Amino acid sequence: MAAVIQTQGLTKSYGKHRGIVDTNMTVNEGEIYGFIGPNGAGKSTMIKTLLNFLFPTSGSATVLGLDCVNESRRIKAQTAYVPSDIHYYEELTVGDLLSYSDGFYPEAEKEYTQQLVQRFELDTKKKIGQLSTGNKKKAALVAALSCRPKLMILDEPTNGLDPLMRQKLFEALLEQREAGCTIFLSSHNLDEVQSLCSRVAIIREGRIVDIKEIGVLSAERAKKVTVIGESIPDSFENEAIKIVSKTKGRIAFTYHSTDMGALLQLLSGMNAQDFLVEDLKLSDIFLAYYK
Amino acid sequence: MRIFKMEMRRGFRSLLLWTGISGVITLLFTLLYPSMLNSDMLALLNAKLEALPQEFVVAFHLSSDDITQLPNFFAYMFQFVLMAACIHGAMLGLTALSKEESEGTIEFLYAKPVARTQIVSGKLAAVAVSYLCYFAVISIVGVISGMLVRPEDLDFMDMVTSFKSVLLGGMIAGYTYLLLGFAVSVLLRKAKHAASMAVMLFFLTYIVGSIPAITGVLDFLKWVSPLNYFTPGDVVMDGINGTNVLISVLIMGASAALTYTMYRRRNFYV
Repeated sequence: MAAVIQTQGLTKSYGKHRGIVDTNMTVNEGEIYGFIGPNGAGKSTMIKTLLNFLFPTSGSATVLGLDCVNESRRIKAQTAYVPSDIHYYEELTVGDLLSYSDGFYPEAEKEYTQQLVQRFELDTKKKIGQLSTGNKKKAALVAALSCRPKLMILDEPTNGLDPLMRQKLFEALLEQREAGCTIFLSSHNLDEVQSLCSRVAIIREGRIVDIKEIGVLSAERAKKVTVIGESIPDSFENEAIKIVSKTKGRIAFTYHSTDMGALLQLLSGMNAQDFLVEDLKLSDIFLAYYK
Repeated sequence: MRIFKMEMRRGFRSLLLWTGISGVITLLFTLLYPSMLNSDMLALLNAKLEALPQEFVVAFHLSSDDITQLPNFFAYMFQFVLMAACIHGAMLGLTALSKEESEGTIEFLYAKPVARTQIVSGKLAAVAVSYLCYFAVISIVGVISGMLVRPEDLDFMDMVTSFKSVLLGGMIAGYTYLLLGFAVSVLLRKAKHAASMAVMLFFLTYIVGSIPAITGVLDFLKWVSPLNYFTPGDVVMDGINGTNVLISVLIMGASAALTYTMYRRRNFYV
């Protein structure tokens, strides 16, 4: 499978300040790749370096097989970018903005853009300055999708969208993936990343600290168990059980085994007043990286 | 072309405002000419000028010699319009690149398949055409208002020739400020200081350039102010100096080259 994004020791520092440090990452063709990390971890710096808004301090990166510095224009001819905060020309109407945006891409078609406008329920006569955050984001998404990109780089794409629009976006992204588009998705919403992405990279303090395959995590069928009771034992950790949190009358642990009988046996011996067993989410696993 | 069109569209209101104000000032100033033919008015003006410090008079070219002649009067009053025109030119240059970054819209534009040189070229072409329109309107207003007050003994073509030199010289000085501002704008991250920087750029060069005229020493400093190359009073008497045109063109070329070079290596901190 061809690498659509590949970074090799990519580093960007702002004087004494750290941006990203020695990052190595490969995003394959046709995958939805998650990119998560706390605020200030370097997510936006990574995106802006890939798009040549920023010049790398050292290391290199290729996007769609092209050098991110010297062939940036060719990269952008096939790449759509949706920023986290939308700063578009406030005096333009949505229609004018989309027309201006489409003008940069020979393959953009007016009819397809119109379909997207209807799908995302955009009012093309409204000025950008009059739009809410969510509607600005919708305009940005339509502008991004209308150019039929080979790669989409999305920074917090659902930020400001209502649940219905979020669902429509997910559907559109999955359609894009089916059509062969690769999607690089930076997000704080870990559940969103889990439901959409095939792999996820975690960045912390400028360094990529882990890369996980979502499929493998699901295959582990790990559970998160919360038990409430007056006299719960707190010394039952073993290879399959990791205690996550412990307060008076409440204990939470992860259970990494497919032996549900053993789990039920454990719970029945705990003198619990109540308990909750749920699938372990990405957020449970990666919350530690945010701390 | 796309960027050029967008820039023209975005700058249209500002162009109308500056053109309107400068045009009205040019018209009103020129219409004052008949009152200057009145000896009482001239005596009053001379008395006021004599009361000013000599250095101030020299620095701001306030000598009232021969302003009973329309071309001289036009040159005399146009130097004040030209100051505004040069500040406007510097402002156009200063905001051309920094505005987009300041407003964050560069994130939209630079995510498109455009080279940085295309962005600079599109914006430079837009401000250059906008400034040309501005000067064209002022020139037309100047000539029309001159026609309204032209004495019978002044040939129309002679008047137009004199005005043309003053206006053309002023336009070259204005473009020099525009290009200087354009080069400085690469270093700016926020456009909100552009207006004050334009005023500072103009008056700093103007005052430093006036030092030789005031003090009689440090003659080389006169080259600091692009306006000194085309002082309307000198241009109306001696015409446009070819060497000064060449120097202005070199400054403009160097500023443009510097802009392209710096912008290609610029980090966009959006």
